[in-house]
Amino acid sequence: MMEENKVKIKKFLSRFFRKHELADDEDIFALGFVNSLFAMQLVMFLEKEFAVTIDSKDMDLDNFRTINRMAALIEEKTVVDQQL
Amino acid sequence: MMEKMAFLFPGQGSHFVGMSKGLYDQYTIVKQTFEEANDVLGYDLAKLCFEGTLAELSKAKNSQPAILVSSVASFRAYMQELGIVPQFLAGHSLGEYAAFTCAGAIRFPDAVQLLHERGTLTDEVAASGVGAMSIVDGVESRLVEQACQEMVQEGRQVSVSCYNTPNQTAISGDSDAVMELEDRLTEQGGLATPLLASAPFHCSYMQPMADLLLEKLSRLPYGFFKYPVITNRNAEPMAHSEKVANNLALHLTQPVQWERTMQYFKHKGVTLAIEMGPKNVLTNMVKANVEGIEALCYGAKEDRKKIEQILSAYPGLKKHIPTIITRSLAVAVATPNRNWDNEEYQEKVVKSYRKIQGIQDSLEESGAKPTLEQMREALDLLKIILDTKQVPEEEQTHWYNQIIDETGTYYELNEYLAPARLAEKIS
Repeated sequence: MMEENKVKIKKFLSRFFRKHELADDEDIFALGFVNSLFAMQLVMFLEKEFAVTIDSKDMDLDNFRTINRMAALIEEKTVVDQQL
Repeated sequence: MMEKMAFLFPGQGSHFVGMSKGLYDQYTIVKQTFEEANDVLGYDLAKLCFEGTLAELSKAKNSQPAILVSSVASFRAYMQELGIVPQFLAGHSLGEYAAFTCAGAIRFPDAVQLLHERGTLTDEVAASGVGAMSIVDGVESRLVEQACQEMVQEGRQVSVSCYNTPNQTAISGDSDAVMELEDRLTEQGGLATPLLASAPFHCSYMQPMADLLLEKLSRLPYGFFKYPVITNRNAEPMAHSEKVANNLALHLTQPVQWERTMQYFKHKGVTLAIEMGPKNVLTNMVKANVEGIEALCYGAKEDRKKIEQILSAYPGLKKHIPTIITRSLAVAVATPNRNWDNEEYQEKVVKSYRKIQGIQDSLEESGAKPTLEQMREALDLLKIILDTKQVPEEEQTHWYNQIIDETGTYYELNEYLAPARLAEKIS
């Protein structure tokens, strides 16, 4: 599940990081890519693709720094949703 | 020295969950503006703006009206609270609709409905996968233009769709061509941000949608301009109602000349640009284009305080905000007479005018604001004057819309926006 999600996230990011093979633990913000247009599209993609709601309290750059962190956030959100 | 102001209206991408919530909680007119939009749309746009989800709000059929409503609400709150009028309006891309609406050229409910329909068409274009759009930072616009021309010579379809700042452009066109151009510009040190869910705005790929949109635009009534709008297409002022429909159809296939718009403001001596939208999007673009124009966003709380502070230096100006009574008097005088029956003219026009003048005299004496009853009386008397002068129904509608618009009394006096109903009521 987690691995599958990482592949989906990586595929999404590849449209932005063309000609750069992203590693799962690579800091995307260190690549000089922190504009708000990108951030908004990333959040939208995660919400839509994984059917989760990302609240303002989750809007911490650290949650989105690497593919691993994003996958962890999705996992955490999904578990909480299932408990409700 | 008095500030010279331009109001700016943002375009796509300026929405977020929680947009305009602060203004909504603070000002009744903002709440009423959202409620009217909800009625027009038949669903709760306000709830979508405040609670999301972001994915749902971001659908163009929602985000386009949402950005318009936020912008108009912000403008109305400003006019009510501070009321010092701008010299120019300009909207970035989608924002041009809010500019025309606040200028008085498009009626607010028409604009809401139109943008819902425009958004629905946009979603269809985006879903069809025809074309793509990207933002390019860090490469001079003339170099981007040059790179586009090279691609076109190779038989590829891509062009500059927004000239935002000397170092930020948008490119639109065929999807593969856009990606190829992104790669070439990245090699020149640029940074490309694709707008994944976007239609390829402001390029020839939008022609089929422009044709559909023109049909819708052609059916709307257009009012007089209170302020000129500097258009995206040519960065020149426009104040002709009959040109709006055609302009907005062409707007879909032609690039946004924002850089030139900012230069126009600078050239005309604008010193303060106020962004009427949910968050600071255009203020940084002002700074990146020209020096000497302060840019602040009325929708952002901190900026709003600064704007209030700057404009408090001109207390005299606010008093010149027209009231229903003063506007009724002005319109009564400004409309040409077509009735040569002198007796009737004296009996109806002159007497009615004197009655409105009487209301104004008593208000000036007491220093009070007109009551709702006095406003209604003045507008009813104005109706008698216009009917007697044989002013055509359509022209009367224009005048009433303008008076209501200029005085910001959309919700207290909304029955006067439909003159047919008004005629019934008076007779």
